[in-house]
Amino acid sequence: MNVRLALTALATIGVVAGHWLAFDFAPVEAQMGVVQKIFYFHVPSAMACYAGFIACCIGSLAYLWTRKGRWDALALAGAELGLIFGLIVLITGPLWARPAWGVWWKWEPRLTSMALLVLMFSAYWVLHTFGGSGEGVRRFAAALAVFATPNIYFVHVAVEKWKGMHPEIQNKGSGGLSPDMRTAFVVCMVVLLLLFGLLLEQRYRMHLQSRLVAALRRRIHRIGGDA
Amino acid sequence: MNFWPTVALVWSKDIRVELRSKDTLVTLVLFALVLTMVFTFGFASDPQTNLRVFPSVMWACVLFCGTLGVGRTFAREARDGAFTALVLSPAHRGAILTAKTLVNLVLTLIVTALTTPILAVMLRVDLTDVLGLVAGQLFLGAAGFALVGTPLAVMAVNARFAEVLLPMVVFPLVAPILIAGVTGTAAILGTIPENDPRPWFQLMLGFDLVYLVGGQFLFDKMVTE
Amino acid sequence: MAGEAFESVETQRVGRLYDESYALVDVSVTFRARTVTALLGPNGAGKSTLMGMLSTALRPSEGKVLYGGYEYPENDPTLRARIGYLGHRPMLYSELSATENLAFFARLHGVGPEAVAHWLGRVGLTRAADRPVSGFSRGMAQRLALARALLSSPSLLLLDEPFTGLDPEGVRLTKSLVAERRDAGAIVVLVTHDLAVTDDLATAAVVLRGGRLAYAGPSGGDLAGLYRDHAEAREKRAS
Repeated sequence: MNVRLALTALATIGVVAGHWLAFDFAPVEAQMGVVQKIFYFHVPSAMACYAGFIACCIGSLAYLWTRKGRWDALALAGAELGLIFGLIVLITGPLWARPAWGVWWKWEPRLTSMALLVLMFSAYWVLHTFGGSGEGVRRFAAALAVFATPNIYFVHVAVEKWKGMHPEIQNKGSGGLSPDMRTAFVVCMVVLLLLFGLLLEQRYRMHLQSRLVAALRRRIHRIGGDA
Repeated sequence: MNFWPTVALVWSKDIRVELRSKDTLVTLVLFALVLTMVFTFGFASDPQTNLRVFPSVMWACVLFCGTLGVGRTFAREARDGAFTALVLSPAHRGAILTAKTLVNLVLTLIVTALTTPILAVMLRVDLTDVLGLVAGQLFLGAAGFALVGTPLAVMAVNARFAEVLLPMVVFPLVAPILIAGVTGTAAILGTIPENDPRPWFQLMLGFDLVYLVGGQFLFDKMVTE
Repeated sequence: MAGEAFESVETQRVGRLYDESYALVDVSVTFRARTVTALLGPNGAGKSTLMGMLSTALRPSEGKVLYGGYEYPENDPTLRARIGYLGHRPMLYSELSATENLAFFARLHGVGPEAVAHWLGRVGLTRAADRPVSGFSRGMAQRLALARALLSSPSLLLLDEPFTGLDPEGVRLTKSLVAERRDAGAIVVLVTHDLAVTDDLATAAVVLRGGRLAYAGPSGGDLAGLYRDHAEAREKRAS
């Protein structure tokens, strides 16, 4: 409990510090200008998004094998956080792309695979949330998450071959970072991943507890209701 | 009972049931015809444009019909609980999945064999020289749909709104097939600068193999409650 | 293909969770060969859950089931081959004829084709053999479903309310077929609400209540009383 509180405090300070580092401490990038600041949040969000979907895949596999509800709760929490951070990526990406490339969107491997990834895990989330509360739905969702994972690779390869003629957008500029930029970037990365971890744990526990509450409520109904 | 005899038994049972009721096949064929109409009304233009849109239209038909067919796979069996009897029989579950996948593949191929020539005629695209290549692509693509869609369809039996959920789930998953199909066919027809379709064949083949193995690996876990 | 008969089927502290709540808790009970055991209990007592577990369709969240003293690995086809299961639904293909249905399941179970005509005759459906099941009455479908469950001469026969939809003649027929299977050495577990059945068929009884084991032992005169007491106690609590 204390550890969690300390980490939450650390993350809160970190988010403020990250903003200061990104906007004030790190110099403005010479070519792209101020829009490059997005990069400090865009890339760590993408990492957190991947981490969420990986958590979902691991939780789903473990659920299919063990059928313990906690694995399903972990998978759901991972998918939800992956989606939140994925949305941040998909919003900040075009904001950066418009001034940098002159277009909001390009069918580029990383963009496309991220968009499809978010779409697949949206399907997972919709299924899990609206498909009903039965175990069959959980199994279906888990299978979907497992099926979606190798798909990321195929989407990436396919788009790479498809739009192979646009090599100039392969690199988003993590190469030439000045030391101050690097400091800001590393801090932002650590802070966002910490935030991700904390949120994942909270969400996971929330799912476990809400299921427990639902179970208790059903038991009350069963004792008092039918006969 | 061994693997392949079981596959043959379940497959021929499914085909017999389908031939007797005909509802899936008739629905699929009519839907496919409507689709070809809509697409040709929507896209038919000068020969140059027709040639360019043809791959997209052809694969869109495969996508829609394939998904519609996959959704029907277990619906009938789930209704009277026969699926439970099938799963509780000593039959190898991988064989059941294989048989169901092959049923879907056959249905999709029948519909594709119907829509593709119609589209080619309506959009005035000459396929005679490249028929083998296009057919090969369609086969690998349809196999990809069946391999991804069939194991997921079995789960949709238990979910609410399964008819809506399944396409929503399957469409993003088959995106690589769609990209490979559309671009590969364009490469065969020579409407894009890179006219080598081989990498697209490889991609589809890799996709099919991964989901062939993945489905067999997961199906047992998926049907046990 | 039935293999050797099981001497007993034993559940060891099995439990089953659905959505974090227990449908069945800590049930240890033994079903013996050459015995028809009636599985009794009010709705929602966990009878179908226990049947599902015995049939291998459901896996226990806790505990284990031993078949003939042996714990089979998960999804073992040789175990499934020795179990016959009749559920709430007929579990048949309505587009296929009675013969085709039985022939299909006979081949899956590795049973010879002669068994099909034999079982159709036994359940009195020879004349309807070539009609599609979709045209069957509830009672006819139930008879055919019974034939499907008996087709492989199972060592463990699980019948979940087999008498629903049957006329008196059908009930009598079902009882005699079940008794025959019992005499051949099988373990029979029979879920029913009809306590009269236990008098002339079931010699053992298991009563479940609220997912827990309430009684396991010989079915005797006090059984009906025990069952009624539960129902009354429940009503009292509810009011």
